[in-house]
Amino acid sequence: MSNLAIEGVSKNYGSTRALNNVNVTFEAEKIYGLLGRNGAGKTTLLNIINNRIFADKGEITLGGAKAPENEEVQRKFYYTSEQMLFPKEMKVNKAIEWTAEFYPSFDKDYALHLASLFELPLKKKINSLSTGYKTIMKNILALSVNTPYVFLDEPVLGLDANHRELFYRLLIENYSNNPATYVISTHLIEEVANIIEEVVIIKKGEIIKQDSKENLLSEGYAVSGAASMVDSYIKGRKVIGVDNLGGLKSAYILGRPDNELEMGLELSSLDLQKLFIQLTNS
Amino acid sequence: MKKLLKYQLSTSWVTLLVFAVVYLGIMAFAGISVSFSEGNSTSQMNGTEMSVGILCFVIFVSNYGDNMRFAIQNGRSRRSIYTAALASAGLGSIMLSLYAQIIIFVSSLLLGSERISYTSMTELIYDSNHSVIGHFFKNFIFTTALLLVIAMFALVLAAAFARAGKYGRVAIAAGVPIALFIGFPTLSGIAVIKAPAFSEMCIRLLAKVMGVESGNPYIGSLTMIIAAAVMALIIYFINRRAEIKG
Repeated sequence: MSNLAIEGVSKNYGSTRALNNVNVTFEAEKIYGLLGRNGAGKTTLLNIINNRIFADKGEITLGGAKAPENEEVQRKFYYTSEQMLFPKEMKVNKAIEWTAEFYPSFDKDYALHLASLFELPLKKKINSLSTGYKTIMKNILALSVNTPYVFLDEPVLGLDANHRELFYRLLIENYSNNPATYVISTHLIEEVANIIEEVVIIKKGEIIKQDSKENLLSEGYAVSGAASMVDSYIKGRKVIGVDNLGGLKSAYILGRPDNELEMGLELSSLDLQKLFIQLTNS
Repeated sequence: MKKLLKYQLSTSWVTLLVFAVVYLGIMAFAGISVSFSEGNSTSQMNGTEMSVGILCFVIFVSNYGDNMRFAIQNGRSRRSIYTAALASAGLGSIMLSLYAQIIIFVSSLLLGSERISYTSMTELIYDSNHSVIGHFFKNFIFTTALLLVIAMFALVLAAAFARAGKYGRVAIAAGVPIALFIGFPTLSGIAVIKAPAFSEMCIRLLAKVMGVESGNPYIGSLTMIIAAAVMALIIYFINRRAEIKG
């Protein structure tokens, strides 16, 4: 399957710039974390890719074919978002039936199996489902649709811990059995950190990082200890952020650590959430 | 496009069924009431086409936004949504027109008597007197064209509503009924008093293009089909850059 390329995409809402010259590539059969703070432009980007809204500028192509208004391309995508685009009066079983009608690769038996796992009531109207069950219904469709690209915008919104864990497990299972590109946009970075392979960080409408999770985390390290010791250690180093707790201090530094550290300083690897917070603060 | 069309038609059949049952019930009630009443007065039942027209308007105006959102969710383009909407308007008009003819025919056959008659729109407007088949065909064509123009008008409004922002939606919701039922009649009334010659010319023109002057419903049908085509063009331009609102 070809790569999905987003080149020079910009979008304004009146005087608000939602996306500014976004360039990003989603490769085939990888799991991406699309991370950004509220209002960073994640949903706008996903909406543009999935033909819900139009970019003011730029191109989105899949293997060279333009994505907007191109059904050949759009049928290779499946997108679940906070927005509910199913008719509110539609029943859950009808939503499954119609998705199967529109997507020939949809696995209806698997969807029904997942519905029983999550105890999703099939005969209820979508409108009468709780927020969590609406999310579950959308996730079940996304996991059963078997398209080469699946975009999940806040896929655990309203889910309890048990359902979140079940969803992540099924996502991994599904990915192992039928590899596809998953782009997961979420605020729960710690939860998806173990799932994602590639990280795309978006800040104020601009992509500030795109790399593999491993590369990203190996770009830096954290040093903790007494504030005065940490302060002296970080002099001349590229500090991306600091946390203070009483007399203790943690500094997040880009680059490689020294082979030997002064006594009293502790070295640790960056975690994705910390790195994200430091990169997107301010 | 076929799947979208199938989906769009599937959302309306229950409405049609309920409408048919209620309509036939009312017709039967009216027929029985007149037949068993005392005296020699006669009654004429009509309005089937207009009630089907309102049904047609409601179906198309209410379903378009939902259909569009559902189609986009399922990877369909705006072009497909547009062609499916036009196809369902065309097919829907033919089916509803046939449906109206059947209702009139069944009502006349089962409930018509010397004291009550069920008449069609072309009989009322054009005062046509033809064989049963000729009349059926004429009324079928005329009603189809009428329903098509109504469906297209509903789609224009629904497409504009789907594309409009918050204030645009308020303007459409408030502006259209005011323009149609207050603005237009008021202006017509003023025109009759202030510019009788102009008003007379408009009425004559309307009578001409609708074939009333010549007593030919086919002219009216053609005019309505042309109007529907113009509206189809308007829908195309509204629809092609419509975005899914939150």
